[in-house]
Amino acid sequence: MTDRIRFLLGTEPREIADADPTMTVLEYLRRIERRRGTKEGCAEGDCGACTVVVGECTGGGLRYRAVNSCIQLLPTLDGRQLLTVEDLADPETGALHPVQQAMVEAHGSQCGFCTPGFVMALYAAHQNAAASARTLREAADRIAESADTPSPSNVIGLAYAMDQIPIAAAPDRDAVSDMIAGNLCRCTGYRPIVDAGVKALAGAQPTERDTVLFAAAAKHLATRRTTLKLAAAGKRYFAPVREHVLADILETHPDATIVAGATDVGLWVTKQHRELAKIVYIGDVEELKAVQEHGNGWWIGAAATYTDALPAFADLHRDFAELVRRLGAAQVRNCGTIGGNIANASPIGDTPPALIALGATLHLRRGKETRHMPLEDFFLGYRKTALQPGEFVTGVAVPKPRGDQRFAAYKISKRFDQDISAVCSAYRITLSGGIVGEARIAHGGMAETPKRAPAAEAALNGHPWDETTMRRAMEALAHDYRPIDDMRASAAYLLPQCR
Amino acid sequence: MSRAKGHVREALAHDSAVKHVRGTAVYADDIVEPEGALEAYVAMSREAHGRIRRLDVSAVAADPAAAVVLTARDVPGVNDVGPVLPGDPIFADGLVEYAGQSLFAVAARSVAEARRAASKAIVEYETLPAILTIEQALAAKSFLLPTEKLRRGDPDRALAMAPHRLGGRLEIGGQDHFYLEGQVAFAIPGEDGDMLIYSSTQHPSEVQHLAARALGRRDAAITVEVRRMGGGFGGKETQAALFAVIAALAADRTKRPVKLRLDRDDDMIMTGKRHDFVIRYEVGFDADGRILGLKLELAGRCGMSPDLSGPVNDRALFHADNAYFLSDVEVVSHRLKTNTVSNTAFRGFGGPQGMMAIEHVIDEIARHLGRDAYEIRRTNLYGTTTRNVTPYGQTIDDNILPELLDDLAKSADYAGRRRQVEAFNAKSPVLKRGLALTPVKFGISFTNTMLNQAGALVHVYTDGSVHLNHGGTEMGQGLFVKVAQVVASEFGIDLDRVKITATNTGKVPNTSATAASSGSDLNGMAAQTAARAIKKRMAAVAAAALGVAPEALVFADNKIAAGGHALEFGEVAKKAWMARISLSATGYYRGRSSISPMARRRPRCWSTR
Repeated sequence: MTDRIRFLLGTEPREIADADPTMTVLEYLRRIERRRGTKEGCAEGDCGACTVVVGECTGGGLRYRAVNSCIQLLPTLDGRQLLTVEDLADPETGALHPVQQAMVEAHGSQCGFCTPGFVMALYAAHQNAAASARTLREAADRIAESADTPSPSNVIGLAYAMDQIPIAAAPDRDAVSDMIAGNLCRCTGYRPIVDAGVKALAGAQPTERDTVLFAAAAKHLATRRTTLKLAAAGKRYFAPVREHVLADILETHPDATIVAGATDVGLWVTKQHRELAKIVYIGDVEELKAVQEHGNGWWIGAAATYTDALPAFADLHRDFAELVRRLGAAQVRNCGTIGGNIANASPIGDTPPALIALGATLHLRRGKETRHMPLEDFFLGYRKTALQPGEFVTGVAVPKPRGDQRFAAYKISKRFDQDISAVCSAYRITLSGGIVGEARIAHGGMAETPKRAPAAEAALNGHPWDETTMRRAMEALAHDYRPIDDMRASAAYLLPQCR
Repeated sequence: MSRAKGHVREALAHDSAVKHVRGTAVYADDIVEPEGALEAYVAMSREAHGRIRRLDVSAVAADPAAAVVLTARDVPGVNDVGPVLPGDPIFADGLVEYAGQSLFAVAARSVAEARRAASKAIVEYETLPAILTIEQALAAKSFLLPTEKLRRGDPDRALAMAPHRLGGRLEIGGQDHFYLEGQVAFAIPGEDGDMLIYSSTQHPSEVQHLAARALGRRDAAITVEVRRMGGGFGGKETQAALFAVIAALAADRTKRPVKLRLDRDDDMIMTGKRHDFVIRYEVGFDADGRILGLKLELAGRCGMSPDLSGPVNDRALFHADNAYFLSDVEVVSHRLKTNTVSNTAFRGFGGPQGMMAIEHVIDEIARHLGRDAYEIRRTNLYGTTTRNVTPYGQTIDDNILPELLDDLAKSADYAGRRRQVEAFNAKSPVLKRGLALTPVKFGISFTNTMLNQAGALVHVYTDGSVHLNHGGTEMGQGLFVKVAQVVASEFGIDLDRVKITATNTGKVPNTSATAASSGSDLNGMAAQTAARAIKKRMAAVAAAALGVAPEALVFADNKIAAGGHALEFGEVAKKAWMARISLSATGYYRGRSSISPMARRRPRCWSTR
């Protein structure tokens, strides 16, 4: 057992025993560390002004990802390296990082308040772009030659892990736009910021400063093997690393709030000002982070982030990957998990309609008992699920569409990027000889849960796959859904969109 | 000849660009708090319109975390932050007029503690009927300010005679400023009841005056400082005052520094937005789309108080012609009172809403005639010698729009692109493309001429470095570096010798808001005036030292030179000091309004009422 949070702030180790477990990383930076370069713009993970970069060990390697510090809880930094805008420039010479230099030269800042967030979003991309195996091996060699020899496995692992997210050697404007889709700027109109990104990321190489930061991570970061338990400010926090330990903790504390990416729970803290007395963090549980291909399907662990699972989504169908790309920008995809998206039971859900249409099976565990069910059966009502006290989602098994099956997913949202759907539709149609064998249709945003469309499916099943059938199915949708007006869209808009 | 660096007409990075990218640029919330500093939270009305039957904050005050609770009764001076006209209570006093109106404030060690304490208040209302929308307000004749009317010619007759006639209605929605840095102020009490307020405001002088009025002090007791804002967009022209004043009231009562920073949600609920409009029109035109007669009704939702709604709606009225000549026209402007947050300045200050009205009318004419809207725009443009007087009587000088548009249409291949758009649309049943080329005429400067004034303060130190201060505020537009370029050019020195300093009411008093697209012109000229005053004195010193006439001297390349002899700029500064010559000067500039004297009078002068 571990009773304190250990992480690296830049190159400096930190050990914290008595912090409120629901303190956000942003609050910690601004109030405790007085690192005030990181800004609060919205405190709900939407504007990116608070973007920081978190380095973490994964399978013996290390990777850097941009996250919104405003909704990340401080203890989730345990075992990780936190990099903020203050870490980038060389402290000796004051030399700016190439990303910073490009922002200055391209006139990428005006009022400057969003700027640190953009810098960090681009920096995360730079770290990945710069990290070709060659440059990193050179960095690793330099580190290995230095007096503080870090654990070689970490350094070598780092060299390979950086390749996990392939980024073009010279990302184009579209690629850069996707990197900064989670950052808002009201002054510039973005063009100069995209200019800066294109410029800084072309042929990116790690700087001297980057290698110092790598070396610190390689030296200090080690994967924790025991459960982190904290008790402070009248709250308790558990972060197990094994699934069976998680199962035990939840049996003992069925009233605990399960936190994975905190992209929703973070807002319970910052916006609803809820006091979460007991938190169980599942982001360190190795088994739950698995994303594996099994012949004709994919297993996606409950704690796998959207970024981790993106290859699986892309392999399942390009529409699915696009859906995930648009549900949240990089900072959200880097934290948000499939398990959280399902267990949260949002009426929209974004991934559940696609998963349901694909025929996904949800796996649950309580204590030593496991069970599974078709995903659509998990949703019982508004924010109500089949989850029993102490039970948790372990993952979802998703069959790949077969050759005789066609899949499509569509999403309508107010903003193109970084937005939940107003309506999300997913279809898997099995055809045999021009006749619909089985239709699976699911929607988000049309009912109090993500929901299948039995009437429309019945209108398709056994009928020729043609326009007449399709029109009949469109009519039948009116029997499947009675949408309501809400802030995202009106009922009068939703049903025709859905058709 | 080498030149000093960073003069006017050079495209430079923002003066704070390096600090922005390093995270070292200090915003109001980043200032390191002195020991014992408090944070405040403002409790809001849940009712849009109601009488407060009971406001019991005793449990809030009893909370051990609460250092102070402030209600309307705790305002020693005037309980109002209305910038021009009253109507914006600091704390609601008996009546609430919008959901989100400030009820009371709590200061505690942290805003979380303050918020928790505030939740213990007991508030009971008698709910009153609320008017929320423009149509409701029009129906109820709920006018906040008198309706204004602008009229020329005989629009009724012109409409009656026109070969074509159209009428319709248009809604223009509101908009939140979403400055990335929310409203924030940090007040530090001093001796003798003095107060230093760091405020994220476009109008430090107004914050100073309103804080003084609320505290019941003289203006001189209050100093407001603004180094930079994380965006303003008009949202910090008047809206910053409430929070700065509450911070000052709490600081005054506790004798401790108090910060008040709004959470984004509270900011969006409590602060004013762009005025939304409902516009009705009747237009008569000929077969070429030339407008013969126009009647426009602009109904703007002002919210619960005047704030800047008068001038915002005036500007909508003055811009309803945009770039087009309207011979026979009537524009009626209603300023509606609703039980919603008081709407305020926002980029364009009503201008965009007025222009949107006429542009919509032009689009409708084009659709009706089956013509390209650009042709209709081109047909109706103001002329250069005839058809060149606005409905408010101002002759349009220097009208280059006809040639400019022709050039643009040609260089952008407007016609070719139009053909491509039509070809695409013919083949694409769902997705359609569009194309527009639209002129804009916008009135620079404040419509209220009195506000077109600015001051600056310049010091030269004996090492040749320069301290620059002026009344303009920096919110990302690059004002500070532009004014510094003016001063560097004037002295012929490198830009990095000019120290840019925070706007401070103690250095330059009685300033106008940084608004109305006027900041660079007004403050640049004021700083130039100050620099020239010092330059003249330094020239006398240099002329004496070099034995030349002062008129022969050239200030360039960090030197003051004449006839092949030169002195370092700093050397001359030192000589001036030794000769007991002042190296400090203020500069002042009064500009004219770009909008005609007739328009600057209240538009009611055309009113038929």
